[in-house]
Amino acid sequence: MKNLFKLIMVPAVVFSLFLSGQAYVVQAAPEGKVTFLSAENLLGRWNAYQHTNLAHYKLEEQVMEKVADVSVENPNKLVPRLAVSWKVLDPLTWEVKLRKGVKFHDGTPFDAEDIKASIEYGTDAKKTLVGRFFPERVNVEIKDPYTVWLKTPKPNAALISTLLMLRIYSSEDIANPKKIDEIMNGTGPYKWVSYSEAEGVRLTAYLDYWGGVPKIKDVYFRYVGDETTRLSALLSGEAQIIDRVGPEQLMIVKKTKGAHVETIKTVENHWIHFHCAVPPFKDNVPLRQAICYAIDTQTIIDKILKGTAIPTHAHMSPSGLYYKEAPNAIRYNPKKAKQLLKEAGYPNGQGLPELEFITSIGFYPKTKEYGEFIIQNLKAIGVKARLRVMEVAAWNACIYIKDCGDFTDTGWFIPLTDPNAIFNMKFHSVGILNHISDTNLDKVIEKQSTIMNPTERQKYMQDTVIPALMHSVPSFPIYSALTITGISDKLKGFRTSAAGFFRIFDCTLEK
Amino acid sequence: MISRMLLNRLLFGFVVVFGVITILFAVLRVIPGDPARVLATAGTDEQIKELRKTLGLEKPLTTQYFIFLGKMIKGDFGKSFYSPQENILSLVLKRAVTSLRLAFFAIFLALGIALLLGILSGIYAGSIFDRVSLGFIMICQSLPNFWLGMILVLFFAIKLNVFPATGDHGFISLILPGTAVGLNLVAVLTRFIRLNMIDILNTDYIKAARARGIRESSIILRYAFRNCILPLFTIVTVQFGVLIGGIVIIEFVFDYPGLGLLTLNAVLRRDYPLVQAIIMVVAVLFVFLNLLTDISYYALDPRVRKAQLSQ
Repeated sequence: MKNLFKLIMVPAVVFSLFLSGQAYVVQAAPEGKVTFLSAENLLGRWNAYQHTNLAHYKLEEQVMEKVADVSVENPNKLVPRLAVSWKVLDPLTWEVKLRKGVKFHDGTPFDAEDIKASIEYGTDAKKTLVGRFFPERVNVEIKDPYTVWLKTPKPNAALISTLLMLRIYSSEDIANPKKIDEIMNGTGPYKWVSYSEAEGVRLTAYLDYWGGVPKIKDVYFRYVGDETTRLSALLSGEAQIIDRVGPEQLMIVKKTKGAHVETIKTVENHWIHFHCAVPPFKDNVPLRQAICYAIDTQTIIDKILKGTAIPTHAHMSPSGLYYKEAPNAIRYNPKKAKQLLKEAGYPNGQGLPELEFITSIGFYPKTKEYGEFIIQNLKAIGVKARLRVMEVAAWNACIYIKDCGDFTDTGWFIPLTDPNAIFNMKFHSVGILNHISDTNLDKVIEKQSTIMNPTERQKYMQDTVIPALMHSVPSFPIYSALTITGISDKLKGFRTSAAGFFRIFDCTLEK
Repeated sequence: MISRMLLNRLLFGFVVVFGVITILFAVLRVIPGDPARVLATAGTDEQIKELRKTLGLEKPLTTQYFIFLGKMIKGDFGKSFYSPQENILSLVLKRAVTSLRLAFFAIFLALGIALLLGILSGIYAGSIFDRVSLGFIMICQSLPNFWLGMILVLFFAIKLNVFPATGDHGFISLILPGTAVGLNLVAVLTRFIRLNMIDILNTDYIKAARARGIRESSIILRYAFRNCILPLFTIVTVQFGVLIGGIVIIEFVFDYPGLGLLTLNAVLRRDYPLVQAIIMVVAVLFVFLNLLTDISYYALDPRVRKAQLSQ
């Protein structure tokens, strides 16, 4: 009898303990909602390969994944996402191992076919806008359902870093470009619910996410153009995250209960782009340098931007990979500016026609103010210049035209810490926005991307590429913008990486 | 007679709407800014060209115009560049209704305050109440509505948390933006009603009524009030147009999803089909409102009927 009792009770007790243990593993259902107010428009078209829109990058980060991501803790490190590991097999081949047990939101299992379809489509500059970031189309060989070889015609040390521009679609979706224009179907922690002009995008927690169940149930992404309106929504509790808190608003947030700001160094630089395909800046390096030496960037940062930016002394953000201050860094020096102006053939500005400086209003903070300041800086060295302030759409059309104004002001936020993509787009012939065509720059930019050893690449970047760019200066980095996000105190765990991304999956919401 | 008047007004309205949308079509394409470039900022020239083709912008302007007119006659306004899955007319009408709700709330609020203040100020002209009322309307008139909106948000939405700061959450979302818009209108209407009331109370027929021993309250309610509010129709219709203009900035400040905000965003983004659809709807609405005003006058004012008949 006793033995029968033990025979029944022991397994029963063990089983009960097992069940009670399991109770701790069952996750609570997601609850609550987070609203993010973006400073930039949503495009209403959802193909992740056909835009460079910051609001979309942030939205896509919640819904769609990449092979890897920049680590929040360390901007020099990548964390695995849909790829679990990668290595160089030879200078033209990377082997990538993929994550198992991942499903798209429509239930389709993720495997190598999806990587192949996404990468071959996304890196093709003839088909996609984002293809511009890749020097050539990448070919993908499938070795098994979770192993691929990425093949490039030339060595590309920055390939994995640059693939962070590509969200991964299912191969069925890639075969139907119309579908990916209309809806996002990803593998991320949040899935698409709806979009309307008034309400923005609505997402909901994807319960089968490979990384676990999100704690917050619903996420809303909406465009609100006015920074004061965004701030009001944050302070009244209607929004939990707001984009681009301006310099004057920082103090308001700091003094008001219920919200705080996160200030992060990210990869957004603000530039002056010289139109290098037409006079007076064409083939006139001393003139470009003279203008740069005349600009008091530190005063812009301290007095106009009031600490919402930091200096940068290389053609990349200080939070980028391989950043090092250029040995020939240009710092405010009106005396040197005048000397260079003379060398350029325009002593005290004589003979130089009035320059037109194009800037925008309504998107970046204080552009008109520091634009006016720059005009005064140039006046001090004898250069006559006028400021033309344009609203965003007009400015957007103008800055890509090689003779619209003489030099322009833009920000540039490509969510990559590896500068290769920016170098290729901006400074390799023909540079976007500055129209530079310089074979010396082309050679050094091409070479740096082929150096597969990271230490050697870093040395070449810092000793050769950075100084070459600073010497030629087809564009001049005025400052590196800090990414300042307003966050509700009830939202815990919010963090932005140096690439400018945050994941609501990492957050919890206090009741 | 009314049918001849209606026909004339309708024909004129048609000409107005046609003129407005033709001018708008031209202006949109002349102002700087390329919709394709706004949508695909870092695109190559070839990619931009391809996108312009997709959006129907590569054709010659005259061709685009006739295609647009041809589609519009069939009620097809095309697809918004930024919201191609939404029916453009439904989107515009939905947002128009949202704005109209705000506009009507502002008007009724303004009318309510203005009638009270204006009539009492008119009756007690020169009194302390009248002076305080004039001071109040001067403040209402001087305050920029967007500034007032921000102050209302700061106090009622952020500090007290009794009303929402942004968006449309039903009737409660009308209070702050409606007040910001309506208070400017209070000044105009109160002044008008007050002056009208003073004039009417000094007319011979009012004196005669008093002489016949009719009670003052009856004189004010049955005679003075009725004659005072009649001209309000015109004032309110004209002010409605001004108010609609002011609503754009208020919708922007409050992120209130009305037609004003939609228009502003559409223009800034160069969303041609959406701007065209909005202006078309607004032009038709204005023509209709003017027609309604004329019919109201015809129905309410026997002098207008007599003048029409004698033509």
